[in-house]
Amino acid sequence: MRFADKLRNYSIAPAKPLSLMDEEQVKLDALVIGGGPAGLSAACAMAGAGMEVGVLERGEFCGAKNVSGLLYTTVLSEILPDYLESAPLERPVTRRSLAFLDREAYWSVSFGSEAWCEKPYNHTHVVYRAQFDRWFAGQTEELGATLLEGMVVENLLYEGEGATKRPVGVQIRDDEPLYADVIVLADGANCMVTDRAINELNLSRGAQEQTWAVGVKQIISLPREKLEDRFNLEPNEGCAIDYIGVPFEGLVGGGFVYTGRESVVVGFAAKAETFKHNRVSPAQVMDAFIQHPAVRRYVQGGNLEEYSAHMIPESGYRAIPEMVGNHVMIAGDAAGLVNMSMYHEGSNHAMASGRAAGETAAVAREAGDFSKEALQPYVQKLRASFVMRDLSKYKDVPEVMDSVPELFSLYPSKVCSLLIDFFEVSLRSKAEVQKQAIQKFLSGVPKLKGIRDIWKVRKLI
Amino acid sequence: MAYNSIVLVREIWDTRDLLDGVVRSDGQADTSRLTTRFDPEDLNALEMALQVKDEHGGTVTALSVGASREVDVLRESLYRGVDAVYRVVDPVLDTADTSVKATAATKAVEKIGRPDLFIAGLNVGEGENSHVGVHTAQLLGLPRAHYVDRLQSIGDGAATCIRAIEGGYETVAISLPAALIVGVALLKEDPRAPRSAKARLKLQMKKTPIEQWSIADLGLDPATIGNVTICVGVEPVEQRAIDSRRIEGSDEAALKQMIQELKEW
Repeated sequence: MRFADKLRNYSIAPAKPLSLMDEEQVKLDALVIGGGPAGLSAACAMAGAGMEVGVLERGEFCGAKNVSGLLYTTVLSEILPDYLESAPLERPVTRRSLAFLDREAYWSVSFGSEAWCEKPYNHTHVVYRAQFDRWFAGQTEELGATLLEGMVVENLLYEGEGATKRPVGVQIRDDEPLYADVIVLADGANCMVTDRAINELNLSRGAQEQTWAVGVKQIISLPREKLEDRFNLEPNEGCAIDYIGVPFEGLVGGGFVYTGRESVVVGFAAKAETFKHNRVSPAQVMDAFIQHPAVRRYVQGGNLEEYSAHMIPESGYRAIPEMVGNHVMIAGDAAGLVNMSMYHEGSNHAMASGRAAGETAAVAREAGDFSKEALQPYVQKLRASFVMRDLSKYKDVPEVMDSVPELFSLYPSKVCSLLIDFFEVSLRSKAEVQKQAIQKFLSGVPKLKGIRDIWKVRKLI
Repeated sequence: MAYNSIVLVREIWDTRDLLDGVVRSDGQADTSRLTTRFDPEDLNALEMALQVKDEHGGTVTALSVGASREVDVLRESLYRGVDAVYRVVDPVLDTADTSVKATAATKAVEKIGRPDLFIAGLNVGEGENSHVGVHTAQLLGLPRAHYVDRLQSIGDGAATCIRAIEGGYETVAISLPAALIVGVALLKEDPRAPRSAKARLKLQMKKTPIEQWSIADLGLDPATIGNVTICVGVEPVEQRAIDSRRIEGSDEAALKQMIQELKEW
């Protein structure tokens, strides 16, 4: 057959008829902006309900723009019940610690349970998000959604004015627009599309302006045996340690160490503007943290595999914008759904909100109504779930953290030196040693302030 | 006048951001620790063909030799606007050398129908050593230009292209039909830089069936098409040890000392 004839006979038929499609315009039931936990959960819910869904991800693949971290899997276990079989999970977190660092000294508390070493592992896992999100995206694709990776959404396209104004599609960089009945905005922490949409649709912003924490991480590889020896772990165990104290002096934030399969994640997160006030760079803080004797012992001799940074919206409940507009819902970090209390939970909220948005869209589609009113059940679902309940419970956290900067440096080091002084072996009598230790502990902080601060800090728990 | 092109596209191991332990003790790569990508020079080759089509009309067909691993380069080609795609899949190809691949590519090109331009990237990865493109051109009996940096013009039965040579560039005119082996490193802003996948095409083409041919379908005998090269061993490149030395101080004396030491080194 001749080349030209062959081409003429080559017919291109879409696998599924799209609702509206010609050379000029492609319209789907739903478009999701952002292929992270929130966006993919929304896409799973909508594709599962038989909707035609496209997920637009600016990274080369889903997860490419993300880092590593603790993943809480309660919502995931409902979205994809078999996740333990195939998800790329590094290690479950079977032991947790909280450590307080002084200049050279430290003290810590650890706790864990045998129950955490068995399925479902207390729903806490260390993951590399580049791998995990990619896997999650694959699962979403199997449910029928189309991944549109490496595509940067520049803006939403609108129709109507005033109260009837609604997004009808998206403009993709260097590409034609795509159209959809409903759009889920899940573009994450640095959410430029959401930000513009909030302005365009005149959605109300949170009572407080969003502020950001900067998270910085290093992944350091270690041979498996060495890692398990250092952290005292069995092959299917892992640990997560939170640190507060001297390396973060003056910053509002703290550090962490997690164990991967053959690597250790070391990092910290702190309120972005506190770097400026203290005239330190994140890299300097990272160096000081990793050089601390309590941290160095875990990672020495390892190879630095990755050094990354990410933004975290940290203002909590009071900065959450109106999450629903005509034909649009906002989910995950883009809506600021991060719990910055001692639980620092984000991905779980992202998945819960994404799923709620997806389910709401599926119901709205049945009714053929995607107006702001018709999408309100999304907000109601979130209010009834742990997402908004937790965020509401911890709404004072950002304020407390700002108002008690001693929490992150002075108090930890005081407790540390109290213990060190208490257990110092010397020729002095115990009574003398103890008295001096307590005197030193109490010096430098007015008692009333100390008591007030303790009262405030309860809100973090 | 319209021109029809056939572009040879390949999926190669992604050797960016390699992790420790990729090279096994016997010198072979542990491919379970690697992902793949669209050969970047094949993407440049594809872009060259698509630009010819955009400007002059005609068709672009993408051809791939070997099974898809992770990134389906043919589907990716469809998402970028090619008119047709064909894949040669055969167990023989799993361990094939460049001569077998070139033979299969030649037969596939003949089966598709001889084009005005046969274009391939200058793949050096996975033991190809940039052989397959030229070898295929040779077997097709096409005049060829190697290390083509850009296609300057096409018309009057000839293509004028600029090819990289040592220390500079050479402009060559080549009569059509011809083979161009593209070897160029591009910045993203370059007008020759490959276009990205298009959302609409992705939605339309994600499940389009792709026609596959076996070695026998190409009229070749899998029993006799054996490799002409035999790999007797692989050795890893010795990693270069880099000594670093810190010179204390931030004044001019420290700077001079560093310069002095660098000179001596």
